[in-house]
Amino acid sequence: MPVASGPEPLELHSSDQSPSESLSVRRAVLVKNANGLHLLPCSVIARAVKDFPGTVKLIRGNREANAKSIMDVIQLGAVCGTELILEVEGPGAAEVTDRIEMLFDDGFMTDR
Amino acid sequence: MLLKRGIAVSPGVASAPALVLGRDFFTISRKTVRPEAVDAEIARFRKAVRETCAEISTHADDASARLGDKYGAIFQAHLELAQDPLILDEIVELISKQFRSPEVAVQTVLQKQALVLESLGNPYLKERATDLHDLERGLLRHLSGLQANSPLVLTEPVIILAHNLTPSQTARLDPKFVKAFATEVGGPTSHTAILAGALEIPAVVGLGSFLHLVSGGEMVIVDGDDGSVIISPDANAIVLAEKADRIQRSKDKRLVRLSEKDCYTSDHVRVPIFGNIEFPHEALHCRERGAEGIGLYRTEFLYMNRTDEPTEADHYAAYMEVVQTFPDRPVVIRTLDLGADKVPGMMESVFSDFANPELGLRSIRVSLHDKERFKVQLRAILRAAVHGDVRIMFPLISSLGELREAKAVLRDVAEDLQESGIPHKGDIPVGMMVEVPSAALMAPEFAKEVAFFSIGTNDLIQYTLAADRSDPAVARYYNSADPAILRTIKMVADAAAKAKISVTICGQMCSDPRFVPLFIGLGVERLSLTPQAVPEIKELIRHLSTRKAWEIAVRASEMDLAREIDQFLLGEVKKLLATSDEEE
Repeated sequence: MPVASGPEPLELHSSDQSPSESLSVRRAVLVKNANGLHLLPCSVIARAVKDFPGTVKLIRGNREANAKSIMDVIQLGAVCGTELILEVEGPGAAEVTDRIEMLFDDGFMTDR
Repeated sequence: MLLKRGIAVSPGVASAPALVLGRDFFTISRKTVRPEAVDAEIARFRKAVRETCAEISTHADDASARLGDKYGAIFQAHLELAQDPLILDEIVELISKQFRSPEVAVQTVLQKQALVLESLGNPYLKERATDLHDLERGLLRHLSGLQANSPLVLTEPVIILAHNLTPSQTARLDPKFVKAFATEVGGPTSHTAILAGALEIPAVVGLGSFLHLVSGGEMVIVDGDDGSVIISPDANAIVLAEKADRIQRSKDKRLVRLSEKDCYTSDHVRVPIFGNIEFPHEALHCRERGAEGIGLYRTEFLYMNRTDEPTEADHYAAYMEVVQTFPDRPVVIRTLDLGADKVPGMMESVFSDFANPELGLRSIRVSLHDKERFKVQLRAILRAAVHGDVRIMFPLISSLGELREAKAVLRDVAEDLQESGIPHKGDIPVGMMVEVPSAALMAPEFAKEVAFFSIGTNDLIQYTLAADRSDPAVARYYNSADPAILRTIKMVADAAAKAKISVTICGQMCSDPRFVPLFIGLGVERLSLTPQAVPEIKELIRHLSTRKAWEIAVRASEMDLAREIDQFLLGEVKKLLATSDEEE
């Protein structure tokens, strides 16, 4: 399985702030499912954040994607092993961040 | 009973129940919206999105229930895709800022996104481009206000009614059950027409808007001889149609009998008649009707009714079928003429920009753009050439440099085959289509570098008269009998005669009896036609002397209006046919 980004162990819970009130959260997430961020995982993410009023970005290097857009996230070309920065802004940002991180950790429960 | 008149493009009479093909087959004609209609158009688009989503939800529930949640998840993803803000915002922006129609905006954005997926270099994502194509079709269908069509599985004879048919769609129909075509748009050189000819079924095109009057299942009579289409005919009309069908068939038999002999004018000048084919099995139709070889094999149809790229073996097998049907007669293989109105599914990415397809990347330009694909075809041609009299022809040549480049690729391929010790024939005659005005103007120079010319009138007319042959709005400018066309053909014929190379006409024009005496009079020595026109044209030439042909050409060349020339040629051919009928 190809590993796209740096091999060094990442600090996966980097800049978490005090929960629930925080309006802006940045956290590193790791793509763990075998086929990377293809259509199904991206649709799972999009569904999870669709009703969140704030902004949710996934960042790879200098490329940002709107997590509400499947097409935008797909174009990050994130394969298994890619590290992304998750940036959430808005009321309840921490909860949303946790929920998305859990999706990444579970491999989106979609991959075969 | 409803009678419609259109353009008869493929002869014969057929009657069968109507099958209306859905509007998702439509090509989009309206490209822009008026600024004041933007809000209404956006609302129409949003409604189509809602309806598409509702339809996908139904599929998702259905799939989950029948096949499990895993399959349902795929439709769930489609549902998200249909609501993707990146896609929706871009479409709305195209409508509101650039005044594109929702149909065009949907196509533009989704095709662009599909291209992005294909270019990411991940085979898994590349396949997902199909999901975007699905979404595109769904949105277009809902924009048109029509329901989903079930897949086209035919079990009984039908007559296909449609707005328009693309070559790939026509090719996918099972010919066993399709008795005729009738379309709202299209002209004599539309691909519906060409393919109806290939399938040897009647067709009438250019009927104008009538599909809203048909619900499907009604009896329909298509008369491909006089261009009429009758929907829900009365009993009398059905009897007449059956009678006409019988007369036509018996006339065909008589002509075919006569057609077995080689073709000479009444003063014993030989005029070889060849057949035009799209599919290898048509070579047999050509031989049965007395064609003396294949003058134009449109190889791009190998790409049109499949989803994967044909391999060298596929090309070779197709060419061998034709060569074995005519082992000792010329078989002119034209290299791929893809693009414009012929874009196969697997190559959509090559033709992403639809701005001006007729003047864009098409035909030989596609081959030179992707030489590896070109070489696959050339290898197969040179290998098949071992077994017969194969000649190669490059389409849409517009400059000497381009011709030399194509010939250089052919030389490379021959050298490769030589080095690999693969049996092939490297020195086959190389000819070119003359269908771009620049090639006609430079014909004397081109004649020094090719073994033969073949005049493709369909494109020559469109480019000389600047009238898109697939656009009904400019149909009256697309005029075969225009004096400029006559003069261009004469220029090319003269250049060929001077260089002592042969010149053939292979466009739709020479399947039309009225132009045949003119062509022979202008110095064209061979014709290549749709197989079913071969017996009739041979019969006509037997009653024509070269002197008469020359007189007709001279008279026509003195006229300065297309209408005048058309009338004159029609009158002359009627006189000729009258004398031939008297002899029977």
